[in-house]
Amino acid sequence: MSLILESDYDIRYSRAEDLEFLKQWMADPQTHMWYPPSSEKDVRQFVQNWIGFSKYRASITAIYQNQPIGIATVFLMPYLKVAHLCMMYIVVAPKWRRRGVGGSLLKNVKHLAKTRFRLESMHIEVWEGCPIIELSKRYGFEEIFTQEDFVHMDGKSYSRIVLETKL
Amino acid sequence: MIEQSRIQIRVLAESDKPYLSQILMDPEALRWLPMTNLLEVEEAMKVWFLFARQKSAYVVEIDGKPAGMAVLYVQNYEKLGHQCLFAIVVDRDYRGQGMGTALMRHIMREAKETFGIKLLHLEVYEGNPAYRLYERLGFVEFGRHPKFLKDSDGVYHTKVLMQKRL
Repeated sequence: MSLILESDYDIRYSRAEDLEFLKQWMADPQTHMWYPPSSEKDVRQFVQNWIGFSKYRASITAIYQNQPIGIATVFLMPYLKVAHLCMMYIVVAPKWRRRGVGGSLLKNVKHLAKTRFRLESMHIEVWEGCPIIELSKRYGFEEIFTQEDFVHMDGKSYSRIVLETKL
Repeated sequence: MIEQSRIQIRVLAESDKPYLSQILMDPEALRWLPMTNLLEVEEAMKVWFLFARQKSAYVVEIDGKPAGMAVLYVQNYEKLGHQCLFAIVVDRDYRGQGMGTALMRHIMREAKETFGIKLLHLEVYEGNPAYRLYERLGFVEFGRHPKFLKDSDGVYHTKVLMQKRL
């Protein structure tokens, strides 16, 4: 497996129809274990909420040969007092991982949050062991707190880790 | 302290909206909440009424008049269902009189016995006097999110996270 050049794929604003790809990727057990929903019904609601931010142009999709291969989204906050920051969600299609797509999405979603929405900071919330932790650290995210025993999955307990970067 | 016989706790009802709105719109209450105006308060209330449908949002009454509320944000996601975030607000006229403690004890009991919650957690802004109440009831700080809140004067406030095992 090798890196693909950024010039090989495009990054565009996400569209409502990208929902189907999010759903497909979430059907992969190695993907959805890192996200809150478990059941199919939960996944449906979760991805609908996620792609809902596309109507504010707060979400970007990486496209390779006309197919979405990853999505990163600025989850805008609902209240004025917290409108200076955001949470971010990212996912890369299982077969496109470890090829630079996630890094490219991260770099672009940070730029989007800073320039389009004038946000001051961005944070992500993940479970211990999630590959996004190492990736995000390479793009300036730092751990700000950990909460033990936040997730119970397959008889194991995982900590919640919140990482943040200034924009 | 208010006599226990005058305090009643029940599930939040649609008819509580005007009282709840009044309690939340008090500038002293808003100071410690993420909401700023009536529009945002109404949005927050919509969420609480959704939780009231599953009987996890409560009102504390004194002599039949609402004086505070609390909501357990019970998670429907299976892998997160053992832990729960909550929020609580008490009318300024009744603070320091045992209402907050009564409501807290009620939601801790409900969380454990009705919803099977094992880990209860909260978010409070630095400087909020309620921090002492949470400490007294066994909540322990586990993290801080600096500059989480930015008020209209541009002043930042840290979010403090606390939890308690039930």
